[in-house]
Amino acid sequence: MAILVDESTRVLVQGITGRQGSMHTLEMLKYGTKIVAGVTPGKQGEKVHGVPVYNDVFSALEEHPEINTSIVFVPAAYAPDAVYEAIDAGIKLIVVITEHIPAHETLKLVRYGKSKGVTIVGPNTPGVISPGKCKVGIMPADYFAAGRIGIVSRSGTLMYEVASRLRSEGFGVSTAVGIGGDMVTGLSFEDVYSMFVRDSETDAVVLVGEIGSSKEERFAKYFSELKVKKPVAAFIAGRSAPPGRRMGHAGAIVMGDVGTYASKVKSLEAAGIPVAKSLLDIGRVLSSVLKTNLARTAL
Amino acid sequence: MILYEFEVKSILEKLGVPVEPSCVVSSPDDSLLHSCLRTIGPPYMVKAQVRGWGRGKRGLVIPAETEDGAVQAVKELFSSSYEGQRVRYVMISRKVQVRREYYLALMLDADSQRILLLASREGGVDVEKLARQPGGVLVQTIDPLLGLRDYMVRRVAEHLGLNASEVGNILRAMYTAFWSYNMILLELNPLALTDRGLVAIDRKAIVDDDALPLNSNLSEFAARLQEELSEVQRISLKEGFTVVEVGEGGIAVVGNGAGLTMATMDYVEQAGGKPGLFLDLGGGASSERVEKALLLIMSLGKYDKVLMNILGGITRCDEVARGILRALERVGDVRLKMAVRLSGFMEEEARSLLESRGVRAFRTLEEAAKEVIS
Repeated sequence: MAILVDESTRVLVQGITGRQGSMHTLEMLKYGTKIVAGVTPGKQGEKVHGVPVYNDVFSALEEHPEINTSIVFVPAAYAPDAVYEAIDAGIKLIVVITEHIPAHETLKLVRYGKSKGVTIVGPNTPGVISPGKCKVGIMPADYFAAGRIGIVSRSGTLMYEVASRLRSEGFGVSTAVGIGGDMVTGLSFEDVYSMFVRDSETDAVVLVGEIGSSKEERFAKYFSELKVKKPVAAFIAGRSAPPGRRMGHAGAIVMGDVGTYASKVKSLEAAGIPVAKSLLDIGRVLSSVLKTNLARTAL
Repeated sequence: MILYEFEVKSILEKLGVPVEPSCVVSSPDDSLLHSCLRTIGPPYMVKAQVRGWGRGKRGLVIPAETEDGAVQAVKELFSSSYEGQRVRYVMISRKVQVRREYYLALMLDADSQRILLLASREGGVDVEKLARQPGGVLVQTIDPLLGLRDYMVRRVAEHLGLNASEVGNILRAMYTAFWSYNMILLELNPLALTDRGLVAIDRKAIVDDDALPLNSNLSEFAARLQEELSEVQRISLKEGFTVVEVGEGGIAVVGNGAGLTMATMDYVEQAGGKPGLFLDLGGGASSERVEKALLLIMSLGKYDKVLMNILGGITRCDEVARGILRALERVGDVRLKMAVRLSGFMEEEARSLLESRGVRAFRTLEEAAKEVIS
């Protein structure tokens, strides 16, 4: 099973002829992802690593009706239009890699996507990987061993770091999802977690958060009210960051009392989610929640 | 970016929101000052222009009854500072006779993926305090696909006990400004009821930084901010990395990716080190970008140690290594203690490049951090 992407995923790459689009098309193909078409306006008839290019999403879908997922590498100024086109053409899963899309644009396209039953991952995300099955994203695949732990993260490279630490401690990943580092994103921690709860191949979830916004606090509240749950271990980056400064991600800023490290840890722990205080502790904290859960199941 | 009050005022005025007469000067000797004071006429409110909140509490708003008093106030404000920044602009407004103060705001709410319209019968105070009182603030959510509807205006007017058409004009102008200028927050605080109707006498706005290069309505404001940037901020904006001075420590922490760099800094602090600088190279850093980042750190003269944490992916470890070596060559006499952790794409090539020139490259963050902390 896994979530969002698996063996049945058929991918369209929007912005396939650009530097990033072309490079990651090759990387995804190498991983075994089924990329069936690409789109760049004005480049119809070309091929990128053997993948046929079309002028628009509708033409690509006419030739390849099996497309069910799009990955977007289009620059920020044009990315919203590319996403609307994919939504209107009927694609139900859209992974938006593009960084620096203005929040107002994202707000509208996320609302529009929801109204059409479309799942938008990102923007500003490394994408989604179900190790051994499919990768729709830009993450270095080597860090992700196949296994039964779900990862959901606001940050890209930190997700790789966590996956690589899990791998070195013997844990594999069912699916890793980058929800994106922007203020407004298509998916919340709750959205992804609820998918993991329904997934028979996921035993536990590692949540990778960071300072800024109240995304982790919201997740904690949601988690504490759930009846059916799988164990969660968390890590939050930014404990040493000064307030009022934007730490690289548009969403990573502490404003007043909102979004502090302390508030996130307090909310998560109060909901029964242990937080690894250091990168080095993630494996240990995950093991402990898995053990507790086994004990609970045994009772 | 937080806009200056006078910038927000000019936006609102163009859209038909009633405001008081005012003008702005950029120094106490500004040749416009005296004609400005005469045109506006006493009594005055003399207000430092700052990119932030809490100006009144810090004595940066001074009422003046006469022209001489206003000139004194202007001088005083130009010699003061706000959060370590000198005051660059002072606004002189006609002081308005206020019968009652209200609060109106629009806010982009990432959690609900809506716009929030906030309204309160108490103005001039901290909205966070207001929100804690029951019934203190009316929160009307606006779906961005639906926009501001008449029923929302009526609801706000009812809550405030004000005339719906007057409130409606202001709300519609605010909503237009919110979208035309990519505002994350727009606050009228207070919106004053005077003998001549409602007047927005103080206003604040935050605009989305990601919109600055895309929205030409913002270029004037972006240019003004550009002039105020420090050398460090200017270079990092140009080269595409993010630099934040985080404290007094001597360790500069460099990484590729915001989350990873933050987590690295957290680790250094936990292990007993003192980070002073956060530098996120961003994704896919070229050797040039790495070189410029290191030269920038060295030029600041405040850091004697650099810890670099690189996870190869879109970023190639060998590109990073070449950048490091070039920076070291350019500087020659190196007093920096440097430790690099490299992992992933082209890791081995990078390691041999670095070690051939005596730069230590580690496989784990733990080892690299130990090197700079000890």
